[in-house]
Amino acid sequence: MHIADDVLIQGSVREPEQFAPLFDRHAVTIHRYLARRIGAPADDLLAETFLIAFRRRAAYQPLGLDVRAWLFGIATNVLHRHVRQEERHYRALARAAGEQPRPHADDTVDARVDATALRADLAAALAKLKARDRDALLLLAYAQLSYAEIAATLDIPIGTVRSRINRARKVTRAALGLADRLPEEDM
Amino acid sequence: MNDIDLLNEHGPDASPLSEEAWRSARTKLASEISPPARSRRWGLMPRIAVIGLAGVAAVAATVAVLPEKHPDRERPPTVTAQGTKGSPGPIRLVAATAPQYPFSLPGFDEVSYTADPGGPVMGIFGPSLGENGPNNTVVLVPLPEKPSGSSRGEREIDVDGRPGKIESFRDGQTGEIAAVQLNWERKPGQWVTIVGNGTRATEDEVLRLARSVVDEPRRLNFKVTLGLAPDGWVLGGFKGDDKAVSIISYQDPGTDRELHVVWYGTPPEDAGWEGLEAESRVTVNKRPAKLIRTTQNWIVVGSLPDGASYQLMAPRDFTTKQVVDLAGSIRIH
Repeated sequence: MHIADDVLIQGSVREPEQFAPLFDRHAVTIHRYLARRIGAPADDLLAETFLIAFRRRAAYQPLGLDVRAWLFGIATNVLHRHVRQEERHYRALARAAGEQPRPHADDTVDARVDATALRADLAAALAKLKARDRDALLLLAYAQLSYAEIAATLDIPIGTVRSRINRARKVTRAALGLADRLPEEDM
Repeated sequence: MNDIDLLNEHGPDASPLSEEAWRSARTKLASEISPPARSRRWGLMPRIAVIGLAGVAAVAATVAVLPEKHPDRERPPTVTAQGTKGSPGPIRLVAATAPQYPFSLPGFDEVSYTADPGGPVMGIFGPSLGENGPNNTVVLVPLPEKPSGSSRGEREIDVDGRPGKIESFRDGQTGEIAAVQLNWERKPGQWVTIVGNGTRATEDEVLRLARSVVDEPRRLNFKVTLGLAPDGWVLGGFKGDDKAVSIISYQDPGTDRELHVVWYGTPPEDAGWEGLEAESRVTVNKRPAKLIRTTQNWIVVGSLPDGASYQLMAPRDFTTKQVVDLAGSIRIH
């Protein structure tokens, strides 16, 4: 018998132990999201994310936002206290990857077999983004949330989500040299 | 491959969650969840696949949890993902305004409503055919104030002499315009967002729809509503299927305090309350009910003439009379 996440959360208000399976279901996913953004400190932030989630479980309201998205939101808020560390993480990755041999600038994207170089460009682009734009972009790319879920997760209007992602994608595409390859309207 | 795919596939990668880190985080959570005697049982469970956890969860759901009494414990501050919020003000109950949505759109028979926590009620006009079906809906949202910020893709537009901003959004996969969003000042001081999706995602269509918006306040037909609400609190959210569970909540915008009412088609099993301090019998609308005091909340559990039940949960800042009055104002529709 599978018990839905939101049923477990509601049940955990009265029976705290019902919260435990949520960790087992989502810890790996949430950790990967945190670790891709901040690196090693993700181990500690994973615990912090779930502790906050547990303390806030009585306030959880489904409202179309599933538990996974709710956890991503808490993890994103936890990351806010470590914005500089996150940006240092990206710059370090960019520097490390930048030391590798790179393909010629005229190569097509598909020909960029050197994933390390691509990773350097992406890391550098992420370091340049405004924190709130990066949140929206990475909830879309890493967490695979919909625009509506991102809006609910960040507690902002969906139009604001679109504009933040729009802005972030422009920076990212420019860093990848994609600005001339894909139509501007793809944003 | 677009930039989102590139980011997902080639963006900064992460070391997988180590067994040690997983166990450490799990142990911290376990000690928060329950005292050592009980955390040990969960903390030592082997790491098993999610499919196996369903069974564990089912077992956990049947375990009666003895309430823990902390009579001398101070009530902890409200904890949010952002930190702690300010001190709460006094509570005063006033007649609750029935939740309403202010607009209608001629030509649409089907409309549904949704609201994010603390956000405005959104009207979704037209059939929503699921994730894979065509989404030709129109979303209409009354905004509490002029939207701030701007997007590079938007441009200013005049809507019958009033200011607005319009923006088109393309589908990342197909490159086709998937949505057009207009924010405009419909009347002096009244800002509205309208979004046309799918076949309605053209500027002409969105402008036509915007001009057709009619002031027609309509009561939102929630399964459960409250006749009373704390003065200054706002509708926090709602959800319900009219058959199993329906929830409505109010929030204090200043402190994150929340009040929840849950209607259950089938009364849930009474398995004890976290932080139980006291339980007493009260009468609500001439029907017996339980008034439960926990370390953080008041809870009223009562039944309804049709066999359904409700639970009302309010912060301890409320007086017992206020909690009982609130429970007495619950209306089922």
